[in-house]
This record gives sequence, C-alpha cells and structure tokens, in this order.
Amino acid sequence: MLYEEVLAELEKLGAGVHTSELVLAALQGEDSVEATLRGESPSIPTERDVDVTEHAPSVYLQDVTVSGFRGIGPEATLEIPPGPGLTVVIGRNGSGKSSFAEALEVLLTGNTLRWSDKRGPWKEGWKNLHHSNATRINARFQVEGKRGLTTAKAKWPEGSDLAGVRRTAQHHGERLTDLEGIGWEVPLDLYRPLLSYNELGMIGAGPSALFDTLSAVLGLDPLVNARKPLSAVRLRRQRFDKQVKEERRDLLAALEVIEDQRAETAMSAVKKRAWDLDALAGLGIEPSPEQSSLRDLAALEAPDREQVFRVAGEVEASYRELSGLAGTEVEQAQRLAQLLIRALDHHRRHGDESCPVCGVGTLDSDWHIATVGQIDRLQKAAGRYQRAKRRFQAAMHEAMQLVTVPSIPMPTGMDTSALREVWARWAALPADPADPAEIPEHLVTVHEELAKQAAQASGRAAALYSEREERWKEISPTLMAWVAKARLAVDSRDQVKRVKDAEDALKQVTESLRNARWEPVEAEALRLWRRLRMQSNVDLRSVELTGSGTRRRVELTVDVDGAEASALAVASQGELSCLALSLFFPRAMLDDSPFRFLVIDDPVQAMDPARVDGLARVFAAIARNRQLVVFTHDDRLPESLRRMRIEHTCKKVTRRRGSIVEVSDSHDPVTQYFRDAWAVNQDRHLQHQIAKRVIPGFCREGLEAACVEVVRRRRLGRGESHTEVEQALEAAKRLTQKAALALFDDVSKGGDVSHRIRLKWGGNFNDAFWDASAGTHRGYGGSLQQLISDCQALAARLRSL
Amino acid sequence: MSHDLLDRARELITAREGLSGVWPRAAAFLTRQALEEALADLWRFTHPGMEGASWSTQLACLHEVLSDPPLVSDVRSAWASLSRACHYHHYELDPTYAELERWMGQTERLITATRGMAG
Repeated sequence: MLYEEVLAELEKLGAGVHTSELVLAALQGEDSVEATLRGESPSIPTERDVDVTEHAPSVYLQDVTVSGFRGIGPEATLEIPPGPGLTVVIGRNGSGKSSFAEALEVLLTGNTLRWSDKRGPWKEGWKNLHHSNATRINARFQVEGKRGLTTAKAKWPEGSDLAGVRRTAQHHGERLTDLEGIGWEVPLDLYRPLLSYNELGMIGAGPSALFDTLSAVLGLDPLVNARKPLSAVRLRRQRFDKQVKEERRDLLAALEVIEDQRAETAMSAVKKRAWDLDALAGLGIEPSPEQSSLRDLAALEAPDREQVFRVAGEVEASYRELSGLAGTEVEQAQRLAQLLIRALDHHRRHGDESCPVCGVGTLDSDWHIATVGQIDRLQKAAGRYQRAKRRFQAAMHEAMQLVTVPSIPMPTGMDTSALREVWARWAALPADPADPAEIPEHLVTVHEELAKQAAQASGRAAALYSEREERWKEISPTLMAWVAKARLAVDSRDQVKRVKDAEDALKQVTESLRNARWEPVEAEALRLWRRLRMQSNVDLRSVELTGSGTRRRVELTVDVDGAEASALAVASQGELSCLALSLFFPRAMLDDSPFRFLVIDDPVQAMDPARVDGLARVFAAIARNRQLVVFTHDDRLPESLRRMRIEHTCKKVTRRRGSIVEVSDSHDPVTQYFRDAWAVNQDRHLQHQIAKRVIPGFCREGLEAACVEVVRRRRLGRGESHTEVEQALEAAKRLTQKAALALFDDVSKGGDVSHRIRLKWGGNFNDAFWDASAGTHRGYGGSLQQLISDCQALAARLRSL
Repeated sequence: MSHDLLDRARELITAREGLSGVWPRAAAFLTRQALEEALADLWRFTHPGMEGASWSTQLACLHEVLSDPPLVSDVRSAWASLSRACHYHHYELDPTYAELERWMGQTERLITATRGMAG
C-alpha cells in the first residue's frame, strides 16, 4: 500500500527513472541502494518489507490483577465492564489507582514512560515494600475471534530489575507464548492505548519528540528510515572523494620536487578542473621524450679511435706516396704517353714523313715500333701514379666520412654546448684541403677532444637518466594507485548527484504522504480541542508536522482573541493538558488500532471545572465505540458525568495499611454515603457503640451531598459559571447552610430550614436532619436503622428539588 | 472514652479486611469524636463549662490551657482536617490511610495531655 503511494507520488513529482529506482531501493536498505547504483534494478518490495500495519483482531480489556507492584501489596484486581463504555476509577493519590495503570503499561510495553528516564532509587521503587512475595501482573483481554479470554502475564526472575520482566501471553486453550508472539508490539507503539500523565505531558517534551510520537502513527517510518541508507551511501562516496582530493594535494606536493618532464605532465593533468586521468595513466607506460633523449645521449659515442688513427695514417701515407711521385718521370710519363699515342695515330693516318714537331727526325716503321714499346713503358710508369692518387683520394673520402656530425640530443637539464662545439670543429675538415698534410693531425687531435667530451656527456646523461628513472619508479606506484582511486571518485561524483536527487525526492514524497495521512488526524484533533477548550480564548488553528531530521517539529498554531501565536507560548497548564488529549486521542482512536480499550491516567489534573465538563462530553463520545478507562484523583470528573447524566461505571480504589488495595464500586455520593451507612449498620463485627457514632456522620454527608447536587445542577442550569457556583458552595460549610441553599437558594436562611422541612415533608424528616447533624459529634442513641432510612428519604426529596 | 474511640478508629484502619471502601470515613468520624471528647474532658478538668462553647471557640482558647504550642497547632490542624473529611466536600475523596494515621497521632497526643492534667 505504502509502496504504491510512493510510486504515485514519485510520478507526481516527475522523478526520473534513476531517482525512482533509488528511492525504492532505499526502502529495502543500503545493499539495495548500492546494487542500484551498480546498475541492477531494485526488486519490488513486498508489503511485508515496507508496511508495518497489519489488521489485528480487536482487543478489549477484562481485568488487571496486580501484586507486589508499586503501591499494591497483596493481590488486587480491577475489573472493567466488557465492551465499549466509560469506566472511571477514582482514588486518592497513593491509593494504588495509578499502580493499576502503570502495571498495565509495564505488562504491555515492558516499561513505563514514568520510569524510562528515571534512574537509581526510582528504578528501585517498582516493587511494593509491603509485599515479600514476587511481583506479578496479570491482565485478561477479550480478543475478537478467540473463545474465552486471552491472558497476559508479567513476572520477574529473582533479583531482577524492572527491565528484567518476562512477559507471556496465552489465548484460551492455546499454547503459552512470549507476549511479542501475539503481534501487539507494533500497534502498541503506534496507537498507544495507554495515556499516562507523563505522556499527556509529552507536549512539553520538545517539538522533535512530539513529532516522533505523532508521526509514528502515520505509518511512514519505512520512509523515514529509508533516508538512512541513501545518506550512508552518499556519505561513503563523499568521504572517499574527499580523501582522494586530500591525496591529490599530497601527490602534487611530491610531484613538485621532482625534476622530470613526466612530473610536470602529471601535475598539469592533475591540476586541470577535470582531472586528465588518461594522460596520467599513460605516464606509466610510454617513456617520456626527455628520458628518450637522455638515453640517446647516453648512447652517443665519438668515432672509433682505432679507425680514426687508421684513416689518419692512410691519409698521411697516401699523401706521402703521391707527393713522392710528383714532378718525376712518373708524372710526365702519362703526358708523354698521351703525346706518343696521338703521334702514332698521326703516323697511321699520314704514313711515313719527317717529324712535324722537331722536323729533324723521321716518322717511319722503325720509329713506330720503337714508340709502341716506349708507350708501353711510359704507361706502366703512369699507372703507379694513378694508383697513388686513387689511394689518397680513397683515404680522404674515408676521412670525410668520419667527420660527419650526428644529431646530438638536447635533454633539458644538461649542457651539451662543449660537445657540440668540438663536434662542429671535428666536422670542419675541408673536402679539398690546401694542405692535405694537416688532415691527419686534425683528425687525431680533435678526435681526442671529441672522445673526451662525448664520454663525459654520455656518462652524465646516463647518470641523470637512471636517477630520474629511479625517482619516477618511486612515485609511479603512488601515482597509479591514485589514478585508480580518482577514477572511482570521479565516477562516484555522478552517483552522489543521483543519490542526492533521490534524497530530495524521498523527502518530498515523505512530506506529501505525511500531510495526506496527517490531515484526518489533525482534523480530529482540532475538533476535539474545540469541544475541550470550553471558555478558553485559545483556539487551535492547525497542528503541523514540519521539517525533517534534527529540524523536525510539531507546529501548534493557535489563535488568541484573533491573534496568531504558538500554543506552547500562550496555553495554560490546563489548556496544554487538553491540547495533549486532543493530539493523542485521534491516534488511539484510529480504526487501524486493534485496541478497543483506552486507558488514561489522570487527565483532569490542573483543569478547571468548566473544562472538565468538556472532557466529560468528549469521553462520552469516545466511550460510544471504545472501552474507555479513566483514572482520576478526585471527584470532579465523576461529578460532571453524574450532573450531565452521562452513563458510566465508577470504581473506587482505597489502600489500607500494608498496601492492601481494594477496589469497590462507587456510586453518586448520596447513594454512596447511605450505602456506607447501611454497610456499617449491618457489619456484625462492629460494636453498636461504634456504629452509633459513625452512622450519623454518613447520614449527614449523604444529606449534604444531596444539597450540593441540587444547588450545582440548579445554578449551572441557569447559566452561572462554574467558578461562581463553586464559590457559593464552598461558603456553605455546614449542613444547615447547604440545606438553606438547596431549599431557598440563599445561604443566609439557615434559620428557616427546620420549619421548611417540617412543613414540606413532615416532622420526622426534620428530626432525622438534626439527629444526623448532632450525632456526627456525639453519636446517636436512637434507632440507627430508622435514622438511615429517614435521612435517605429526606435526601431523595432534597435531590428532587 | 476518647481513648476508646481512638482505639476503635485504629482498629478500623489497621484491619486487613471488612467495611471495604467505608472504613476511611468511618475512622475519620470516630477520630474526630475522640478529639472532641478529649477536648471537652480538658475543659472539664480545667475550666468547667467551656466544653459547651462552639468548637471554634474551644480551639481558639486552647493555648490558654495547653503549654505545648506545637501540640496546640497540631490539634487545631487535625480538627480542621477531620472536620473537612466529615462534611461532604464536592470533588474530595475519602481520606487516606496516611492522613488518618497522622490525625490519630495528633489526637492521641491531646488525649495524653488531657490525662496528664486530670492527674
């Protein structure tokens, strides 16, 4: 039922599917909320999970039997007439009357409000001092649908305190069970059919306590409780997020001091508003460019020394060989051979002739043969020169190859300028040097410097590389762990938002359901207050349950002579009692309550008579369909009931020495006094001597009660206020004064009383009147039986005035 | 006589049963009479004739014959309470065991004082 109402409210709110799912999950607890956040759909709660009210069969109270508890010593029983109706239990304070009410409370609830916040001696006082036997509380109930009576019992193991109570219950003819076994616990808590004086004082117990008490009856506890799982789930995430943020600060501080490009990257990723967690995760896997360049620099080497020396030697050697051949026959041989080859060609084309060059010799076949031979010799010599030249060229080529500049990495944090400078010099070898003899020297000397610089740079780079790597390895696991947590935290921020939405929705749903369910209760409370307030100028306007959490409270708005105010500020003690009754009755009167009985302990304290009349009328209305038991410490309520002729049963509780408590039927005072007089007269154990001294007293009080009754009825009937009437009665102290009021409506006409009685009803009544009066002091010597019956008849006549 | 009445009243309030619900007022009637008798006896021994005066007059003059101020005040208060218990007062219920016991104790002291004077 509740579940459906919640769904309907969520729909009205226009809550999204995620929010609705979370609210429903919250009704089932934290695990469900977590599961829903993980993406599982919440199962639909069953009525059992969310709804506490079950329709229990109706229960009436039959009797309460108590021994050894509070003011009650030996076993005493209070019987309540069965079915709906009003029973008033009167007894002086200390008579044991309230002990019955408290006993019933302890029996049914295991504790009493009166003691629940008391300590020490108060907690000891629950046992009766005059009773050495064990404390027992029994109550019997008529339960709808059960044959015979249902008995509930409370007893205490030897030496236990009040809280150690063992409570059992047994339907007639069925097995004995724990009291919890009969299903009264929840409705007792909700509807509380026992209103103790303390509970009536609840209205002053603080707005949030009152809120809890009043709202519990609305059956919305599952909704109220559902707030907890949501907030627990949210808080857990928020705490985690906070922790991750704190760790982020530590992480930044640690990164700050690391000279590493990765640290900088990490910092800028972490500093972004939306943390770049992917960038951070990447830092763990790929080497940073900076580390790569350090690694490259560390691997950088100068050209191989042996090779450099070899090339330098070759350049030197080949150049020397080439130089050795220069300017010699070998150098000319090539040119001469070229000339002779062309001369042979010329001879072949033009035949023998004289030498065109010198003009002396002759070019002929002999010359031709001889020249061919010479060319051959010349060409052999020229080959040696060619080879030397090629060797030199090859050596130079090799040297040029050696002096190339590699790409030199420039990692931050390292100065490579010296290396660069040397390397640039190394490379500055001219391709066609003017003096090739300098080349080997250049190679050897610059290389030496280069090798030194390169080794230094490489060493430094390697050291830096491994130092950084070392430090990175130190921080990297922390960083990666944080990244993992941060991912969760970032995900959970979204969940926190969802949960917050659900919390808002739940709050609104709770409030609107509370208002809907509260409305009829409030209407009833206002109706009751209007009947109870009588002449009070305080009009109750509204009773609202507002706020939630620690700000929850009950707002009682009243109207005092047209001005709005807070009830607690302006109401008198009596008005507050009425207000409390107005608030608590509707709860106990709800149809869902199985308890047809309703026990109220002393509601009339601090009430003036006018308000008691209002209360009596309200009680009469309630008693039409409830078994209402009202405990009271004086006769105001019974008087009001009698005067307004409201049907009720009255029981009187008296307590003898040794906590012997007796319950007797109580009647209107006139009837009661004459019954008492007859009881004394008929008591065979009592000496006549005593009876004659006691009976006139009862008779006189009977007559007085009759006078008071008629005066009060008459005067209130013609519209006088209660206060005026009480003052008039209080002034009439003696029997004659009361009779004067009754007979003449004039307290001063005491002297005319005898005459009027004799005239109106006869002389014997006048005699009885005076015998009762005088006998109260000195006893009466005549027929006691006659005295009682005459006085009783006179009282009846007085009452009919 | 007054002591006898007081004893009877004591019996009523100490009984474990009988006259259920009736005994408190019955005991009040007896105690009041015991007190009034003791008062009358006191005057008879000291100022004969005074016992015929109204109760309020007798109580008002009590300190003239009793040189025990706390007792005088207790007797006055016991009489007033008993008187109230013996008249019908709307809204008031029967006196309790404890009240009766207190009034009886006060009456008892008056009786003892009276006897002392009778010597």
